[in-house]
Formats: sequence, C-alpha cells, structure tokens
Amino acid sequence: MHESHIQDNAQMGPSDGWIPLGKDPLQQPRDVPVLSVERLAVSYETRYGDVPAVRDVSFTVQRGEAYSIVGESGCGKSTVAFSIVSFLGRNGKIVDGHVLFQGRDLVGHSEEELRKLRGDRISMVYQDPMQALNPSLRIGEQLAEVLTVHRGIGQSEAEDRCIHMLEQVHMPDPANVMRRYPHQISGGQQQRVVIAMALLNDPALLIMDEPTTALDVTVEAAVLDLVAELQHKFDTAIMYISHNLGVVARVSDQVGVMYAGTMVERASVNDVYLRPSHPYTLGLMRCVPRLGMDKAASYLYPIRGRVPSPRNLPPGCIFEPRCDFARPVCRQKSPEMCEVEPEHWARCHFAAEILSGKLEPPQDAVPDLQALAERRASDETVLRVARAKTYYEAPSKQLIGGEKQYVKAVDDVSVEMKRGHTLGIVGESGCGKSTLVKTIIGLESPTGGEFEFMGMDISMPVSKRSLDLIKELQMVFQNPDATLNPSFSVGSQIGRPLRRFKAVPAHQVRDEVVRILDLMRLGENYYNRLPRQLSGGEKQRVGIARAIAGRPELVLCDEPVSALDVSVQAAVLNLLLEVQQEMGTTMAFIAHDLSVVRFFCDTIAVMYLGQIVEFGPAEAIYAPPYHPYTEALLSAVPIPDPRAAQKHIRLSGSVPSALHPPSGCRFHTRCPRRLLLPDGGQICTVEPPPWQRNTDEHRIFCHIPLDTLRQMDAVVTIQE
Amino acid sequence: MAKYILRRLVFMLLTMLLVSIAVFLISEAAPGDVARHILGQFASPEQVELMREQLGLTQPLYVRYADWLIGNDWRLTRLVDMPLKFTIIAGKTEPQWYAVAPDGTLRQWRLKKDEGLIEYRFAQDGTQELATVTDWQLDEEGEEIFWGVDTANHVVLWRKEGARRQFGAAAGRAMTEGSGERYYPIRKGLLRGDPGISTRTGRPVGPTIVRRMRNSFTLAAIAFAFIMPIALLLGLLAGLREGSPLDRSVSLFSLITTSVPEFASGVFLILIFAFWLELLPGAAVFVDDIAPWQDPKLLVLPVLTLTLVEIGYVARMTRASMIEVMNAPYIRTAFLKGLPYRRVIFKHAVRNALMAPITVIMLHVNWLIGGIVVVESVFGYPGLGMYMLDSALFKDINAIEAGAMVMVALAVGTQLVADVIYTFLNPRIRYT
Amino acid sequence: MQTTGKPSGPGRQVWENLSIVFRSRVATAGLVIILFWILVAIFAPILAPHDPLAQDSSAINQAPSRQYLLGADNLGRDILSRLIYGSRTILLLAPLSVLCSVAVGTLLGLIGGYFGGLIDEVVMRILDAIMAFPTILLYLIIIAAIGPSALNVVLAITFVGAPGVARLVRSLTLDIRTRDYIRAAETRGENPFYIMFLEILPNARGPIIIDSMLRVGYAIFSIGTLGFLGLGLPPPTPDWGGMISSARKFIWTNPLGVLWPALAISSLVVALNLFADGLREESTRYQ
Repeated sequence: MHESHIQDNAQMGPSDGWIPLGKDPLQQPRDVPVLSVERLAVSYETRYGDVPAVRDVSFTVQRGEAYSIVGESGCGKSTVAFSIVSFLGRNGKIVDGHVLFQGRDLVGHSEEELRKLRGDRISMVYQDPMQALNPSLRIGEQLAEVLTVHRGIGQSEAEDRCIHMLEQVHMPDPANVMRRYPHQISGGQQQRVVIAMALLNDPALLIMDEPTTALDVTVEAAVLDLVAELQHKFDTAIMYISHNLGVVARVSDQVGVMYAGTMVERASVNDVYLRPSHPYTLGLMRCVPRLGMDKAASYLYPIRGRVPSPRNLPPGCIFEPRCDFARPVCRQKSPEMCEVEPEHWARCHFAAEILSGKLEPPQDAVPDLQALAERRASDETVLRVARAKTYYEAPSKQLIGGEKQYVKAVDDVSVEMKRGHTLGIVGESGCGKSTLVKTIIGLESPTGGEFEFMGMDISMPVSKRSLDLIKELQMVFQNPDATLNPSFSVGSQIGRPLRRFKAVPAHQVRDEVVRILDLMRLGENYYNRLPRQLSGGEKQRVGIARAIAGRPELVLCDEPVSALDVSVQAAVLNLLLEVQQEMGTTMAFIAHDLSVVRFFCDTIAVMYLGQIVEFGPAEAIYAPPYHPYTEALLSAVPIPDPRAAQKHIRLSGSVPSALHPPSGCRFHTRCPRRLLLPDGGQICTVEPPPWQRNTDEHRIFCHIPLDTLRQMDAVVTIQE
Repeated sequence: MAKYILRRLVFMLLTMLLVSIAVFLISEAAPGDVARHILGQFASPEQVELMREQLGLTQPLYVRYADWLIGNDWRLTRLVDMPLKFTIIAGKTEPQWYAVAPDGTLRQWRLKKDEGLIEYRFAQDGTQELATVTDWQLDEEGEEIFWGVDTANHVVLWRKEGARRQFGAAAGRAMTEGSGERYYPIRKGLLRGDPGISTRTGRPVGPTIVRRMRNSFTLAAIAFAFIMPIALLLGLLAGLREGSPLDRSVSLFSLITTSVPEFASGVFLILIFAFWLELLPGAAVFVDDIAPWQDPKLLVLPVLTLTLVEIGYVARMTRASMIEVMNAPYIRTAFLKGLPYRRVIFKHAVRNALMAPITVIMLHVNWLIGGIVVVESVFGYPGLGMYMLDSALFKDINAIEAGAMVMVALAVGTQLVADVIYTFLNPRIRYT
Repeated sequence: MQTTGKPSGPGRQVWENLSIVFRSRVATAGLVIILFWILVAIFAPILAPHDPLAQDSSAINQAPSRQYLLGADNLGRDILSRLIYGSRTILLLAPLSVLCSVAVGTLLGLIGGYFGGLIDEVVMRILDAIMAFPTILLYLIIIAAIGPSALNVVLAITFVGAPGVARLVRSLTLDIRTRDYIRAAETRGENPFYIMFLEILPNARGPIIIDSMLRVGYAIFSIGTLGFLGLGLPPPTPDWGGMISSARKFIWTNPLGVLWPALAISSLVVALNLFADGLREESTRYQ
C-alpha cells in the first residue's frame, strides 16, 4: 500500500512536470537552492486576534551550506523553523509567502505529503534532547522507526543502519545504546542520538533549533564539531537557529539576523559580524564582550528599550524606538530589505551610510575606574576561605545501615577576596561553584574549613549569624522570573532589606527605595509595579537593587546575566559595574560564559569537580601557562567573532560523579595533557597535584611543570 | 524488585497492625455500651454486667486486643485443664468449642437449676452421653469450683454452693444462662482466621464477611469491567481533541456524573427505571445465601450507579494526562520525524498517557469502597459495605474490626499493585 | 497615590478574578446556582412556608398540593420548608469544615514542605497513612466512636480532608521554596515563619483557593453521604442526606419525596464543581 502510493506519484511525476515531494532528485542542478524562503509571514490566532509572529522573511540555503538565523528570544526565529515544515500547531498559520524546498513550494501541501517529507528530506533537532526523546521507548525503537516508516525496510536492516549511524556520531557502544532508554544516557549522548535520528534518511536539510543551549560548553563544542563533520560528510544543508552569537560565528557560512518577527540583515558571517549595516546588528555586536576584553579598557553598549510586542509594533521601522540613528523618516516609513552591497541585505534606510562608516554609533568613554582603584589601594582582604569543604549526604539505597556516602560538592577550596575586587568563578555545571557561594553566604553549612569575613567567623548557616553580619553579605540570582516574589510590589521588595537591616529610619524607606530605583535607571513609577509587569532585564535590576539596598560589603552574583538576552546583558553588567564604582562593593561572580567573566572580573578561579584548579588575575588565566582544564574550556568557548581561531582540544567523557571523585588529580580521567608527563602521567592517578606558583597571584594545580605549560600557545587567536 | 515488594508487604502488615490497634482504641473510647445495646433499655444493671462479662468486655483492653489478635484458647486450656477444640460435630449446624477429654470425647458443661452441673460427652461418631459432674476442685478459700466449657463458647467458672448470680432471664437473644462465676469467651484470634462472634447477630463474623465480600466484589468487578474501557477510551479521545465538541461534552458529562453523590444518582435511577418505566427492580434484596449473579436483573441498577460516578472520574484523569502528553516535546519530535498520525498516537502517546491515570485510578480504590457502601445502602444490597455500616451503627466491634482489616488490606494492597504496575510501565523508574 | 486610571490593588485583583469567571460559561452557570442556594439559605425564614419541624398527621407522605408545594414527608412535614432550611445546614457545615481542613492542612504542608527532613518525613508518613484509608471507613469509625452531631461531622471531614490539603500545599511549597526569592529571603536571615507565611503562602494561594472550592463540593457530597448513611445530623434537623434516607423507604408511596432533596444536593455539588473547574481551566490557560 505504502510503496504503491509512492510509485503512483513517481509515475505521475514526469508526465505533468510534477516531481513528488519526498524524492531527492539527484539529477537536479546544484545551483537550485535546497531551501528558499520568500516573504514568509506567519500569524498565531489568540484571544486578542491574530498576532503576526513573523513578517516578510526571505532567505536562501544552498546545498552543503550552514545558514544561521540569530536573534533574541521572542523574535520569531523558531516560528520560521517550524513553518518550513508547516508544523505550527493548531493556532498558527502561514498567511503569506512561499517556502521553496528544492524548488517546490511547500505552502498549502496536504498534511500527508508534508509528513512524508518530515524526518526524511527535512529533519529537525531542537533544544532539550531529554524532552525530545520519548521516555518510555527504547532508543533503538525510536531510531529504527524513522527508517521503517519512510523507507519501508525491515526491522533488522533498519537496526543495522541505526547502529551504523550511531557510530557515525561517535557514540560509544552503539549496539548497547540501542537497547537503552533515554534517561540512561547522558545529555550529550542524548543529543547525539537526536542528531543521528535526524540524519538517518540522509536529509537534504537539517534544521537545528538551539541544539546546544542546554549543554555545557565542552559538550557544546563536541556536538558542534560533530555537526560540522557530518555536514561535510553528507553534504547536507544545515539551518541553525540560535541566540548565541558565539555559536553562530563558529558554525555558519551565512547569517540572517531577526528582530521582532522580521529579518533585518542577512549576509555572509564575516559581513554580519565585521561589517554590520543594520543598527540592530551593530548594537548586538557592540554589546557582547569578546574574549579578551576587560572592563578597564572597553565598554559594552547596551541597546536601550525593549523588543516591542508583536501585538503592538511601532508604525515605521520596528527598530526605530531603540535606534541610535533614528530620524523622522524612520518613524513614518517602514524600510524594505535592500541589497547594500552584493549578497549583503539590510532593512534600514541608512544601511549604506552605516556600512561606509558615514554614520557612527556614539562612543561613550570607558568608565573611569580611578575612584575604585583608590578604594582598592588598601588591599584589605574581605573574605578568606581556607580548605573549605561542603559535602552533601547522598540518599542511601539501603533500608538500614550501609555506609553513609557523601557528594563532595566543594572539597578543599581556598580563596581570598580583596575589598572592591571582583572574583569570577568558572567551571562546567556540577563543578561546585554554586555550592561554594551558597556556603559563603550561609545557605549551606560547611563540612569543614575556615571561613573568615572581615575578621569574623562565618562558618555557620545564615540562621545562626548576627543581623549585622547578614547585612554585609547579599546575593544576586540567575533566573529573572524567580528572583522576585510575584505577590509583592517592586517597592516593598526593595524596601524589605532596608527595614529589616534598619539601614534607614522607617519613614525614609520609601525615599531610599526611590533613590535606589533611580540608580537602577528604573524610576519612581516602578515603585508599585508587580514583577509580572516587568521585563526580564528590569526584574534582574530590581533583584540587584534588593541585594545592594542594605549596602552590603560583599555581593555574590550567581550567573546574573546568563538568562538574559545579550542586549540586556550589557545593561545589567554595566549596572553592576556602576554599583561597584559607587559603593566599592566586593563581588563574586559565577558564570559559565568565559568572555563575560574575563570582561567583568579582576581575579578568576577555575573550578573542576569541587576543587579550584587555577586561580589568578583575569588576564593571567586567559594566557599561557594554562591549567589543562582551563585550556580545554577556552578552546571550547564560542567566540562571537568569525575570525577567532581556537586550538582544538576536546575533553573525552563526562564529568565524573562527585560521589566518588577520581583519585590523585581529579582531572586525570579526562586530561588531554597528561601524556606530556613521563610514563603517561602515572603520578596524576595517584598523587594530588601540587599548587605551582606562576606569579605571586597566579597559581596552577597541576603535576605538569610550569615550564612545560608556559611553552604552550595561546588558545585563542584572532586572525586579522 | 522482589526486595521492594517484600518491603512493601512488611509495611502493609505493619499498617494493618496499627490500624487494628487504632480501631480497637477508638471503639473503646466510643460512648455507649454494647451490652446495653444488645439487651435493650429495660435490662437490669446486673444483667448488663453479666452480658459484659460474657462478651469479655470486663477484661483489660490489652488482654482483649491480644485475645482478638492471637486468640486465648491456649491460655484458657490451663484453666479447664483439657485441650480446647473448635469443631463441628455430627448433628449440629455450627462449629463450637469443646474440651477434649483424655479419652478422646468432646465435652461441654451446663449448670441446670435442679440437676446441678451436667457434663455432655460427645463421641467422635456424634453419640451423646450425659453425666453429673462430681469431681469439683477446691479453690484457695476451700470452696468447690469447676472450670469448664459452656454451650456458647465460653470458658466458665462454676461454683457448687451458692452461685452468686441469678439465672440470666434477660430479654434479648445471645444471653446464655448466667449461672457461672466468671466467663471468658474463647477465641482463636484473627491471625488464626477467627475474627470472633458478631455481637449484633450472634453469629461468627468470618463466614458472613466472606459471603458479603463475594457480593461486593461481584458488584465492583462488573462495574469495573464497564468503567475502564469506556472511561479510558472517552478520556483518550477527549484529550486528543482538546477543545472539540466531543471533548467539551465528555468533560461536562464526566464532571456532572462524578459530582452527583451516589445516593442521589441511585435515587434518580430507581425513580426512572424502577418506578416510572417499571423495567427493573429498585432494590437488590437477596436471600442471604444466593449469589448475586443468580439474578442479574437485581444487579443492573447498583452497577449502573457505581459506573456513573466512577466513569467520569477515570475519564477526566485520562483526558488530562492525554492533553499533557500530546503537548510534550517528544510527541512533536514524533510528528517531525514524519510518523503517521496513528503511529504517533498509538506508539508514542497512549502508553505515556495511561501511566498517570492507572496509578491514580488504583489509588482511587478508597473512593470506590465508599461508593460501594453507599450504593449497597441505597439498594439494600447485602455486601460488605452494608455489613460495615450496620455494624458501625451497632458498635459491633468484632465485625467492624474484621471489616476494617479487609478494607485496609484492600486499599493498601491495591496501592502496592498500582506501584508495581507503574514501575513496569515507566522505564525511568524500572531502571534506576 | 495612584496616577493610572485603571483600578489597582485589591480592587483590581477581584475584578480580574471575576472576569476570569465570566469568561467561562460553565463557571458562570455554576456561580449562578451557588448564589441561588446561598440566597435561599440566607432568607430561609422568609421563604419557607411552614415550620420545617411541624408535623401534620393528615398529610403524611402527601403528594404536592397547594398547601405543601412539594408534598409532605413520612411524618407529615413540609418538604419544601425542610429543603429550604436544609440548605442552611449544609451551606454552614461544608465551608466550615473546609476552612478547618484547609487551615490544618496548610499549616502541616507548609511546615513539612519548607523544613523538610525528619519533620517532613514524620508528618507526611502519618498523613499518607490516613490517606491510604478508605474514606468511608474513617467516617464510619470516627462517627461510630464519637457519635453523630454537627460538630463531629465537621471534625470528621476536617480529619479526612486535611491530609489532601497538606499534600497539595507541601508540593506547592517544595516548588516555591526553590525559587530564588526564597533564597533571597534566607540570605536576609528572615525567620522561617516569615518565609512560610509571607513569602511562600501568598504565591500558593491560587491553587489552594481552587482546591478549596472543589473541597466545598466534596464536603457537601460527604455531609450528604453521612446524612444518608445515618451518620450525619441527629434526626429532627432538616438535612438533605437524612431526608433522602428516610424518604427512600417510602419511595413507592411518595416518589417525589426522595426526588426533591436528591435534586437539591446534586444541583449544589454539580454547581460547585462546575465553578471550580471552570475557574481552574481559565486560570491555567492564560498563565
């Protein structure tokens, strides 16, 4: 039945010029693009009427090419991806435009024909691999059905092909993986399974929607390597959807920038990054720190305002309200996409002027850090942590008895923080950076070690600390949606620490809150707002306001900007910097984005599996000698600059369990540099490494002699 | 897995032990006197006191609990100085307690007003001999006494001279003659399969409960056989087409049928089918020994009432679960893999969608038991629920205790089964 | 203080909630029936044509007539008046018992969920054990032990309902306490009770309120059932469940006598469920 149906189509094909969907016409000339989207417009039906999610999007993807659509959250990039296969849910519909796949328009095709295309000629991979796999079916079943359904081949042959494909994606022990359930393999492996699934039918187009967002940088790098390798092997056209400028710069040939539902610029990756001609693209490039930039020498330019809601778009140019170059014409007339130079399109009335440099964005002075430097002159140590240990009791599987097991989340960590300085803590998820911070602030009780803050012992949980001590240590959190209590107004939440710490007399609380709101660039009219009326960046600013209201000595920031869009990130980072300048606050800053940490911090601690492996001034961490783990992290970090060349160092395996950390040096199981030592680094498996001092302030926790480490090249080089 | 089940079973037994203690304590705290309840308002205080003793209520609580749980025949044997045996002999309708004499005959005693203490000797073949007791014992005070088994399952202390109590000529049944000095009701204990005698009916609880359970089980099983397929199907279909007219009508119908209390829907059904249409009998009155399936007509309305209430609940659970699954990213993956609609539904959605409701439905057995009590009460159906209700209203401790044990075992047991099923359905739990 | 024209503060909240109700036809229908019964209960003395306890021996099991609009029961009492006064009983006892179980359950759930550890373990094990019991058995045993009365009905329903509330509140608390604003309160050194009642509870109120609505329906269901089984209010009190129970015996002579109270209790429980369900659907759909 199934096969005869295909045959019918095939017979019908040549006679009336109709080439069936789902057949890859190999004889087709190479210059017919794999995908050509023309003036696509998509709307969602809602209670408030039709909301235009995507308007006037056009782009072309050639065979073997990697095309990226980049944009901030809510700009409609995922909608574009789903509309390619007309999978928009019950309330979404394509209202205009064409999606030409290998020359044939997919808009308006029957569901059955589209179905045959999906998973066969066009595959998709998206964000969370754990969610994308069916939890109650074995991986083998989920893989093989793609072949049995589309190719009509037998089960055992399908399984053989699946195993072969799993080998292609470098999955260890593929035959075994076939019999497992999704939860039994790691996140990186799940993503490999999803990629293998997408490639089983050798599709002409692979769409990847934020494929690495949920993964750690080292895993992300490995997955991106894999996709690049497969792209060349199978000559597949790949479409990336991503918000991460670093990832896009690394993987793409062509880039389309989306803003508020439409495409504002498209060109080759080099043109977009190095010669942006739309003010929004320009703004994006100016607001992300590049690896190597630091706060003393450079400034991040945030894009003011916020993305307009698709229900409420400005009349003329959609970017006009936030644009530095806006002129009256921008408010009246919506610009068309125009070709500024060959193969470089932008949707701006003044694109040519921007490109030629006639229009230049305003240059703010690099902030004067003089005042801060003066305060620092004292060089007083604010916080001293020595041999800190924080263990969690692991739930015992036995009913009674059995030895208690401990997750060694932080194990023997020593850190010092100086007044007015910022300490950055980096490492993959699960390395203990959050636990360290929580122990310092008293949310966790330390198992051992010394904790001294301004001469006072703080090795106890917050409930046992005095109010004066509590006041001096405050925290800024990661998730803007969870950082504020939804039930209370902005004013009362900022006022609470003022009242509690009696920072100002009761009748002055309101004035003080307003003053702090002004400092946060929010203004008094935010006083009575509830958190749900704020944008992510605004919530984060209120979170910072609440933390600094009591004028604490030390503010601990747990990934304060990683959940924010890049244009908002810059504003929040600048704000933190201002707070620090004004109050001389000492800060600890956890982040996984190494460029941000490099930009923002004075000192950096690199953590691996509960231990610090390298500690020193920011510039020293980013230059040789490196700890082998730091070196691997740096070579994995995506850099938003297509000229960046990185050493290719990839870690094997995943982070071992902190329940039974490896003996000797904890990194020895994954260390790519161990072989530099005599007899293959036998010593690393047995003895904990020594702290080697590169300079007074820079130390490395490694067996490999400093001289050997010094001889290595820098990981990142920018090719001019 | 076996270890897990074993552990759960141990917990289950522990729970039941605690339950039995709790029920015992609560019944003890209950105001009102069972003996007074049995004898009626006009009995004299002496008669009530005697009744209490014959019921064993004068003993300390912990002794009564131990007797109830593990029996007291092994203890009472020492008093009678002969082994006690619970058996049925030829020519009698119910089993009784006897003392086993060294010669192998079974014995009971009875004090008759003018004849003194008579000893009944039953041989194995059922022949009966009578004799007057002569071998009285001397107690510490030098009076002649005799420990024996009476004809109503007590171990009794008789006194030759000057019986302190009058013959019990009290109103009401269940009262044995009150000529003894002390009474201990003999029991085997629940652990040995004897939940005791019902104070309400004067008959052993065990056989009655078994018969009543059979009846209730029939009712529940038939209802279940209707509910599950229909409700699961309706729920899946409604969940699959969220917001469609089918979904709306299923949701509304199930909301209404689950919210109407069983006694009201039972009344509606009786009025419609029995009173106005005269199609079916409106009550399910059985001769106690006849199994309910021998007259299926009687079962229709009770089953229908139970089905109406439960079907909506199950359908709603299934619908909610199906909606959640259909919105899950892995269903989107399945569609984007280009799988046919049917394959996505049957292979990817249904199994995951049934996981949640099956456990919730199993836990719902508590509710079902409540429904059965009400439905039985509405239709006069002689099931376990009715028995429990009547016993509770009468404060029939033995019956309440036994019924409670059965119900709790059922409830906890189903939860265990639900957990095991869930584990098998959900590989995420199975393989950790 | 407010510069905007929109209503604000609590006024706006009430308005928003009401507009949610009216968006759903089902919830609106439920609300109308509930309001009807509430009005009936409030104005019972005005509405009732007879004394609900007065017996008229000439009217025993009488069919509806001009004098007794819905007929009379087996003791010759006016069914309509008994229905009207019965609404008072049930509309007083049901919310009261829900209030008690919500109060007890919320407290236990907050404590268990926020403190965790051994306290949580002990509290939850006990509550699980109670929940593992067949509800009806609990009612039977409790009422058999303490005897039927209005207070005891409330106690029994509280006892049976509190564990469910505690479980709900605990799971909400477990979720909310992982939020960063709780972390922020902890880093301010707030006292645990401040955190439980001022930081957590206000954010759990939505689901608790909807759950309470469903529980009122369930409580009416239970009070009716207890009345029907003879475990409810002692006899002369007009009580819908009890009315059905006694009229059930005379169903062949006076079928309407059992129909009216059955309709009354069904309409009220259905209405409450429609209301709560509509509310839940609407409030989750647009979050």
